[in-house]
Amino acid sequence: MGDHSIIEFLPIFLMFLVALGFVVFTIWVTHKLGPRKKTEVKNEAFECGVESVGNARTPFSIKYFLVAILFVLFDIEVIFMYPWAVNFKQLGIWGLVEMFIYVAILLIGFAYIIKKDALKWD
Amino acid sequence: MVTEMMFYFLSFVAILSAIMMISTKNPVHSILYLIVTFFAIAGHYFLLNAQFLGMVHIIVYAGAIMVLFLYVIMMLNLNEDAEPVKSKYQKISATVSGGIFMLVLVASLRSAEVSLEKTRNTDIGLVNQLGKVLFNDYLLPFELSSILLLSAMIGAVFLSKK
Amino acid sequence: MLQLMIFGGIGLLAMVSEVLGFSRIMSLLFRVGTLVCIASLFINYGLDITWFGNMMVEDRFSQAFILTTCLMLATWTFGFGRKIGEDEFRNDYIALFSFSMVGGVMMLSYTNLVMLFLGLEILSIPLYVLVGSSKRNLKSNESAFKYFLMGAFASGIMLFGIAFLYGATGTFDLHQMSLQAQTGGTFPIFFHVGMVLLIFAFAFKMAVVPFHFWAPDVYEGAPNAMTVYMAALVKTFAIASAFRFFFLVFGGEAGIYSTLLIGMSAVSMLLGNIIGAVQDNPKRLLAYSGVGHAGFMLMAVIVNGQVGANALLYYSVVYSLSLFLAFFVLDKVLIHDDFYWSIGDFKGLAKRNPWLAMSMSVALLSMAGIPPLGGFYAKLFMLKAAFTNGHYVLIWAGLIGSLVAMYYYLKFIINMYSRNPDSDVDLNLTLNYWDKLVMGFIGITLLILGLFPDLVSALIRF
Repeated sequence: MGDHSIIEFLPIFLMFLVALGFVVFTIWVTHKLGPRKKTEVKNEAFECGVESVGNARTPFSIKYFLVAILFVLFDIEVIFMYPWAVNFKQLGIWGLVEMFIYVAILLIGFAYIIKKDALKWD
Repeated sequence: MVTEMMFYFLSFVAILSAIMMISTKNPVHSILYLIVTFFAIAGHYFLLNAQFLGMVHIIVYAGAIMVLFLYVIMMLNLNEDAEPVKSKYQKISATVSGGIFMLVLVASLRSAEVSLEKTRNTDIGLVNQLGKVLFNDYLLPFELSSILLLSAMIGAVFLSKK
Repeated sequence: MLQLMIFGGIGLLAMVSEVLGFSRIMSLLFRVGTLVCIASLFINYGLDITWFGNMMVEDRFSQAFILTTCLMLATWTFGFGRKIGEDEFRNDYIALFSFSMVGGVMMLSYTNLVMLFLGLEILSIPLYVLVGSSKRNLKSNESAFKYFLMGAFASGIMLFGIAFLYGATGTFDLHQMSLQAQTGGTFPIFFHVGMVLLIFAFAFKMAVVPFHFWAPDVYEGAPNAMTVYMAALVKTFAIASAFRFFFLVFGGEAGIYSTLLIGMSAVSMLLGNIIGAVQDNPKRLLAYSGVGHAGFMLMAVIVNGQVGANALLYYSVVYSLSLFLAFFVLDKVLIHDDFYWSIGDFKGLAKRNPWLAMSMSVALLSMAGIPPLGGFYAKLFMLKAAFTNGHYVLIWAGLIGSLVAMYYYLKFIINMYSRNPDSDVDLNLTLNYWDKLVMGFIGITLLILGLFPDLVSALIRF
């Protein structure tokens, strides 16, 4: 492949560069602008006057993980819709049926998740 | 020329961050390095004119899967001091087998240059081309992938319920 | 294709039933669905049907294997389904089993590597969950985690291999690949790398040395019903799909890859059985003997062709039935839930319950290959197939492995018959009529298969 498609990506690349530059710049600027005085007390984790105990890395509820994994699954489902949507006209009515079957199958999954209270945060 | 430079730059970033990922002590840092690796690989996909794959790689891998990785690491309660000490024997055997595998891959791919030159259809990775193939030729795998997603869904719900 | 839809439909129905609340009839529906599936096979039996532009092809091979695996599934449900049918999560189980069968059917009838990979994943993901399905049990969790990590790695290896093959041939389709292979086209060297990676991934799934290390741990930790499902059906799927790959691409012996396969097969027959001989935990013992049996079944993949398919079909049926029987007894005897199981638990089983001892003996003798039972012909067919193709290494390894296996199977049987039970165990293991029916049915089937070995091989004549 030639270089022409790289040139097409130049705006995106520039956007990434600008975004990255902005982040780096703001972090750097906030560090520079604000007055800082480091003391031992200030660097300590704040715990209402009680001395901090233990480690911040404690295991946390599996609920977060469940929500995240369900998100990924539906995310993948949606990903398949991009190539479908682009070709929507050419695929015609049959393409619509194909996608309906696919979504219907996953909707059963969604109903199942709701019924099982997997998303309920008790 | 630009392509070549981009390729070397991305490869450098990918390999460096992959090495950093396995050598850093803090598991959260290694996840962050993994994200960098994924971005670099997504860049490779763009270079190969596989834009859809590149976007999916960023959205799904660098976005969603990474969140899962982070959650898993936080759930597993990995601390630096909790890291089990691996025996020397294990390390040596892992290095040797990994090295041999790499040798085989490099040796076999060195001869690939010629055959990879004649790439068949450079536009195959574009979204509309991919859609045509996916919804005509590969229709059955596509529909069945919903079953795969469903079984993962049931599994996740099933295992997390008390 | 019909079977795919039936199993997929049952799985979806199980989920719908959970939502709409007609979950009581689901376990009945699963059984009926399996039977319908078996019946549906006879609609097109013996015809070659191509589905979705060469994504999958129903041929005699896939039909025969789908038929036997569905029959095995029915037998499995008959023996082990009751406990699951009474479980609180039975619909989840039913959905997972149905979906894993979908994957299995895909692996048996693929002609496209995409279908193979997808089938493998659809088969594996429910299995990871099922292995860890006794959630309160640490061992079960551990084994599920191990299986998941190893299995995910193997899937990755397979995908890597498929990618190499695609790079070398430019197609996922096995027919086109075989056309290229047979017209003497030279492949780039990474075709070989792809093949080797693919073989390794297959070897992992069928638990063949040197990729067997997960099997004992996983078999030990998983609930009995899941272990036997995995050991019998999934092994059949894995080996049959490997067979199908070599059959469709090379149409017979796979040239240089045969050497690799012969090595793995011979070593697993020897090593699996020798390590099995020193095991004290019955589940680990069966796992290692399963490694040996996988080596035996790999012979069919090496020999390939009509003879190999015949031998593989017969072997997989007999091995699955023997395993069902052995695990059925195991499930009844090893009732203490602490995972410190040993062969000592079977001491004097004949005095505690002659039915169980008898069934276990039948199962073990069949696995050992003692004449009136099915296992004899299973091994004979394999060895004969290897002999006609001149693989004497395999024959020697098979014979030595079988001898070692016979040693520890007989030790197990003697342990049950000639020793007295420990004083602290319950002397009367009671069985209900259902249990006796199950054991009698499987035992008699093994005997019938041994007496009329042509019953199974008639299914697959190309």
